[in-house]
Amino acid sequence: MSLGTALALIGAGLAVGLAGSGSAIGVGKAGRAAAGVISEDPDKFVKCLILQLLPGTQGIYGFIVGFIVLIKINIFGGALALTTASGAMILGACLPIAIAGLISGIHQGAVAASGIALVAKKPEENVKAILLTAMVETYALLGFIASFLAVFLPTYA
Amino acid sequence: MQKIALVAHRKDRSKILKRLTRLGTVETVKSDLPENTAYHGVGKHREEIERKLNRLTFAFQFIKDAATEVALENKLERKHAAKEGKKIDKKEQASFKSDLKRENVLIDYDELSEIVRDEYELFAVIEHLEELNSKLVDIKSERSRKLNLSAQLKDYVALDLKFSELKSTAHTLITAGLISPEKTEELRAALGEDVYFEFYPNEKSTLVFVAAYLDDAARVGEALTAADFAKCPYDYAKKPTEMLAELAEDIATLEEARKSVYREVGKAAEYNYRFKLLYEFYNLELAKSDVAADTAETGKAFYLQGWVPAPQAELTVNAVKEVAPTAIVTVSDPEEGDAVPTYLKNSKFVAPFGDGITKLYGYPKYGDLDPNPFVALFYFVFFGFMLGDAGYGILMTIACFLYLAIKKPVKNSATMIWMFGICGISTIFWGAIFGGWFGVEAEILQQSAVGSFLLKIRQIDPLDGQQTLVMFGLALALGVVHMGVGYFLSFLNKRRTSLLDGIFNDLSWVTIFVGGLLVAAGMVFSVKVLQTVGLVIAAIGVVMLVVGGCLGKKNVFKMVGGIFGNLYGSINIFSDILSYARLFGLGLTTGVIGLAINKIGYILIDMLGPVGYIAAVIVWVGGHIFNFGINTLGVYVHNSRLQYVEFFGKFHTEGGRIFAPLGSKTRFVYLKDSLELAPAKKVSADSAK
Repeated sequence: MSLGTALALIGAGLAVGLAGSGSAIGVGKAGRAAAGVISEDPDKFVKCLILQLLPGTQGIYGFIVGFIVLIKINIFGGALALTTASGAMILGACLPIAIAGLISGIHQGAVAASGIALVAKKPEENVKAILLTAMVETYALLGFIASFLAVFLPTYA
Repeated sequence: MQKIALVAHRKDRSKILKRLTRLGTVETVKSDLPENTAYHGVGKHREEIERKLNRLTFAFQFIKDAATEVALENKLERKHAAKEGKKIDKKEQASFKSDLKRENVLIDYDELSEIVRDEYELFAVIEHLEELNSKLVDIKSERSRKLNLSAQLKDYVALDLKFSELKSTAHTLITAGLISPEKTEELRAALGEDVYFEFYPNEKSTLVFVAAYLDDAARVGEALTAADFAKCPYDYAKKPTEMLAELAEDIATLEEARKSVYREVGKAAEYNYRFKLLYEFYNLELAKSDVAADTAETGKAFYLQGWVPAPQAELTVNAVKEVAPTAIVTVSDPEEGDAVPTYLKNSKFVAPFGDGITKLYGYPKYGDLDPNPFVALFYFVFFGFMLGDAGYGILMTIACFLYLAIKKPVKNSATMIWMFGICGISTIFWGAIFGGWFGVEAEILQQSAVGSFLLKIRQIDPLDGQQTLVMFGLALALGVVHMGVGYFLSFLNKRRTSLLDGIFNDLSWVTIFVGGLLVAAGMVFSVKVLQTVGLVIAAIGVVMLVVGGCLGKKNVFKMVGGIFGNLYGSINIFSDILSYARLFGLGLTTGVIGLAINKIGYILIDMLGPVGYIAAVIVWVGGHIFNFGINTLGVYVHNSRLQYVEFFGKFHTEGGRIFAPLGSKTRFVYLKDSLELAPAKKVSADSAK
């Protein structure tokens, strides 16, 4: 194990951990709002559930980037000893999804919670609530693509 | 769409409305008010219909509540029996079901109207239900009264005396009651030794029994008052325990009565379907009465106006003439300024996308382009690209079409299923291109003959450095095509009103996009000529855009401003194109998560040996279901966004009112209509007279 490998693992940890935290906060916020609506009208469960799920994707993007890092450093078959520079590169490459995932997850959760309030009043407008929520996700998606390409494309030694 | 107007005898009104409901081809509007007429207005009739609808609604809800209640009791009973080691078969228990769902039934209006013959019988059932309901209310209030009493009597259970025996005699004071537990010591001290007393602690209070000489009565009274003594208010000629037993028995009887009432309600469950039909009938009656209210009338005649799709005009006129030969019906083309409703007629493959995607955004105004065929095409292509796993595609297509084949949903009740079924085909196509088969790795695919064939048809490997970028580029290229079509449609929309604007502001972008795509193609396949030609075409587009910026501007400064405005707009276009990166991102997500799930399974097998296989199968099945679910949701959402923001933003303005003919708004069943029967001949205003 080298310092480079350690840096790469820290990167993977940040990607999975921060993006996952963003999703957890977002899904949590939306979940609280959903539980309130469902207590009034249990029939709205599915509509609320879909909205609650939407801020969950950041965690998935972070997980994918982390997973790709693990594959890159061959963790499943005896970890590579990366140079410090390579490790720092990977760590840097993980940051877009880590940061964008954390913050967009929180805000997407807020929009999802408002969307759930919308569904409580006008259940037939649920798709519009979904779309509003999905707008926030664009930036998590861009962060994911940046991280993915930066982790995936170079060959590390 | 054409305007239809008719003048007929008032006595024919209900016949005509009935016929129009059955046809389902006319959307009525509040009619004009010619001289010497007045609106028919809302009559008493409407109230009566509403009352009937309310009673039916009550019946649905009451039966549904009873069903839930009975199911709950049955469950408790089974649990109880299981505790005693017995088993009750679920089927042996009496149960019933009731729902408020739409029935998968397509029915002719005349056929539906026959239900009104059973009205007397059905409302008799409802009357019975209403009686049961008031009985239930009585039972419930009686039960809660008894429960309250028994909760209060529980505090006296330690007293082995009849309540009526708690009376002072000639020489002694005898009393009992409750004090709060904190006061016991205080009271004990205050009463002293000359008084006989007994404390029985309860959960929240302490029962006090006091016997004293009458001489001490005043002192005892003071002590008790100081301890906030609450004297027993009961006077029953029974002991507390006897009373409690009796009450428990009564409550059990009431409970049984409640259950039997619910079971009695269950007998009405078989009427559920016919209730629905009757509800639908009165629902349509309500719609007709609202239409009638908005017609202008004189003492003898009435005037009705509405919209009819052009192909159905003749059919509609003939049908009206059939029921009211004296009616005068005219059909004319819409005039400028009319609020014409939009009716989009699409093929079986396009319509689901129109219903599932465009409708949510808003229909185009009458006369604008129908965006549905384009939405359908691009939604279809993008869906597969984003989901990108042929295995999931196969499952989705099979599941959706199986559902359609078994359930046979009537009319357009399962458009979303249709849409996803069709999109599954696209997913299979793109999945094969990307080599996505349940996320199975290439090394494992290679080991079997089928797998190596699947690898052979794979065109792009998303996890191979160079080809990853090809996939990325392809996503953006698809986006450029999508937006180019959007601009072209915008040009088509404008061509009649502002042709120059359309050419220089919309076609210019199409030109730039074509040029750009040619340059990209030239670079990818290293063909120099393509690059040069592409550059020239793109340059022409830019010049057109500059001209477009000058259009309609009166002085040079404004022209320069317009040019800069247009060029600045290109930044937006650039970010729009980047937005299509989501095609690439979501396409990767499915594949990589699938890969991760498979890998976790293999690791489990490595670690746990034979037991690992069981764990691995659980992880694989659960994981892929999760992956499929979350990605399908993501794809649905992001695909819609691309249509709404990037595509519709270029040409489509919503604000069209969806054509809603009389008889189209139903709640429990679907009504047959004549919108599909379309005689090709057009009716002119004269021939209809």
